[in-house]
Amino acid sequence: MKFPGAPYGLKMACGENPKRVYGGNKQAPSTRMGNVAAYRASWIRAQRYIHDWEQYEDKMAKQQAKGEDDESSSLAAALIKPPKRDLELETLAGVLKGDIIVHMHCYRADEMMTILDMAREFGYQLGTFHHGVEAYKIADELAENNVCGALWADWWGFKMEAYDGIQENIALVDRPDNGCAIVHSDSDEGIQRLNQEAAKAMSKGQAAGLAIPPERAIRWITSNAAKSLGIETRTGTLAPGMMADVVLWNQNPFSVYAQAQKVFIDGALVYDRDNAALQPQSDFELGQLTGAGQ
Amino acid sequence: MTRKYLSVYLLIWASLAGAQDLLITNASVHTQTEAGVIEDTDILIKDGRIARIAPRIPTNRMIRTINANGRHVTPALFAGVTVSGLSEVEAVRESVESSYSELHTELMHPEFDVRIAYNPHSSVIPVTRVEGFGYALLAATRGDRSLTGQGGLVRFDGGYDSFEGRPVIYVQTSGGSASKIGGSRVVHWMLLNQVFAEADGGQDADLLSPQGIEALNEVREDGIFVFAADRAADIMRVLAFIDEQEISGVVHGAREAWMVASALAEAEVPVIVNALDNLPADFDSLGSRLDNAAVLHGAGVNVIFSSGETHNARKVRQVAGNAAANGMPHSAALAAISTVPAAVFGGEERAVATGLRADLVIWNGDPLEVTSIAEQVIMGGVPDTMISRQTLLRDRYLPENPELPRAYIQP
Repeated sequence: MKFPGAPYGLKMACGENPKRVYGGNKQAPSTRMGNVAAYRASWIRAQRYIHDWEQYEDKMAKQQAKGEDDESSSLAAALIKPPKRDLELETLAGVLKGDIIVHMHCYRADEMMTILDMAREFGYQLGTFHHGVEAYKIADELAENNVCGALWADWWGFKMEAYDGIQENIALVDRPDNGCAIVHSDSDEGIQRLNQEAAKAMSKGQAAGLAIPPERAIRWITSNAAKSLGIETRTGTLAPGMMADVVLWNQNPFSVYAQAQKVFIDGALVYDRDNAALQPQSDFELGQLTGAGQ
Repeated sequence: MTRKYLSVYLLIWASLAGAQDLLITNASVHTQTEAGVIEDTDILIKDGRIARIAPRIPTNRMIRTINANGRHVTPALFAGVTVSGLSEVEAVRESVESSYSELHTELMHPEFDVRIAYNPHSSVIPVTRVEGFGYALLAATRGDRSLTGQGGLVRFDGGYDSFEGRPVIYVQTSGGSASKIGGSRVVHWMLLNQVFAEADGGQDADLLSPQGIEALNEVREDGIFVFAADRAADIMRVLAFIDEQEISGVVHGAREAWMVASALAEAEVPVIVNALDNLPADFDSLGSRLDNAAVLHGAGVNVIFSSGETHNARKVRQVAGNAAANGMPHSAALAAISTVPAAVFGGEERAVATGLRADLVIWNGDPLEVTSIAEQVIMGGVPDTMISRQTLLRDRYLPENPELPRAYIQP
């Protein structure tokens, strides 16, 4: 279910994927320049959309102000046509107004810098760069712009824009004041063990000489992720007033041997390693391989 | 002139001290032999091989010495089934050499040998080696044939010809991999049976070239067939085929192998698994579970780990760690990424024992722990530079506020 009250997010993509997908169909945007040209054209349309609605609401307000008893005035108000509602532009307008958070799929440092320029041009706050394999090259700029990086601990080399991946990426993005690093997996395997992914990133950072105590590294999979999603005032930290979303580990979570013992969501025990009755199973898994096994 | 004298001097010095002589002191050695873990001991390496393992070995002062300070030493690890040196960037097709498809023939090509394309200078090799990995199994990956080709063990010492062990032929058996050959896994078995019969010479060769027949028969005699199979029923079919054809075989993937563990143990067929494969990814792997490796080991099956990754092959250490965290004995999990793969595929023995090649790693902690780091890799008695393209990128971006743009920082 949707996190109650969480802001909506918009995923946008840079780089090789849109190049490949649209370029493969011989369709724009088939280059990085094409990507940016298309974003800017869309933002300009969204600005116009906001303007049209503001103008409409303005006219309506003026007509109403002329006097509610005036019959001709209310007739005139009825003649003012609202702009046509457009869900695409409404979403983009939501970003420009600050109601929707942008999650930007982007790998290369130069491309992330271009996106930061674009956000400045259109006056919106960028939320998080996802994947950001080269984020370490612009860690200061990300922190200055209050933008998070949701990054892999060690995955690299699967495409050209992932060629410069290093295992210190997360630690280097975390380094500046206001740095906001998040450990992500983008994988059904990795997401099950983000504590291990964070542990790898932490130890690589420490080995490079960066002072990263575990109580700082844990933010990469708790409070920084909550910040990225706009829910940091409700979850992601253990403090009075926060939602009781708590994991009890059998040992230091930054270990390959660590196991979640108990998981609480909103204070309710939703998983217990020692109680089979509190280990949920999906509908899909139910009844599979009935009778199989040794 | 000075340089010439210097190099002559170095040559004399080197021959006096022994070019590859090295002493590792105060180590906690995971021998991966019956000796188990030996605490607080020294390892003397001469001419690239382990000469002696004992506490406080007396030597001449010229010998290069690394004080392990009680740290863990293991054999250089196995990186898994990879296409290291065969793939620089996965999505850049012209940089990938590990598979063939859409050939102008309908033949199977067991003679397609990826070792011909192996490039030891690929950036992937040092990136993997500095994380504690000394060897891997080169794979011919899935194209559009049931037999995907040939590979074998490769040692990450940077050599052009650093292959060892028995030749390996890779075989597809799953339904998913049958999409390009008619849409049913039955076709795999139909064609495999035909190919083996053709190689026997009893019938006309429609699916094999003369070179293919030669390659296939060579592997039947001395090599190993690696069958990709996850579903328990497919694994049983593989075991039957191995038995019928009297070949050496290994099951790769093997997500449901725990269901047929005793059959695998009885047939003495090893498995290559990824202990992180715990989700039902498709209808061949509904039985995926975290303790697959532990169950197999418990039943007496030889277990090898592979992460399925090449660029991130180093993740296989985390694979082994998770197996250990889910019921597999620590020493067996370590063996699955050190000694077992070499033994199964006929490579040089990987263990820390007198007479064996000194491919070793010094770790700053438990070698299966995700927070541990390979501090020093030693290949054939020679300490590695521990430099890779990634360590250089790190060192270029580590300094804060450099005077010049980072392109001028030459770490």
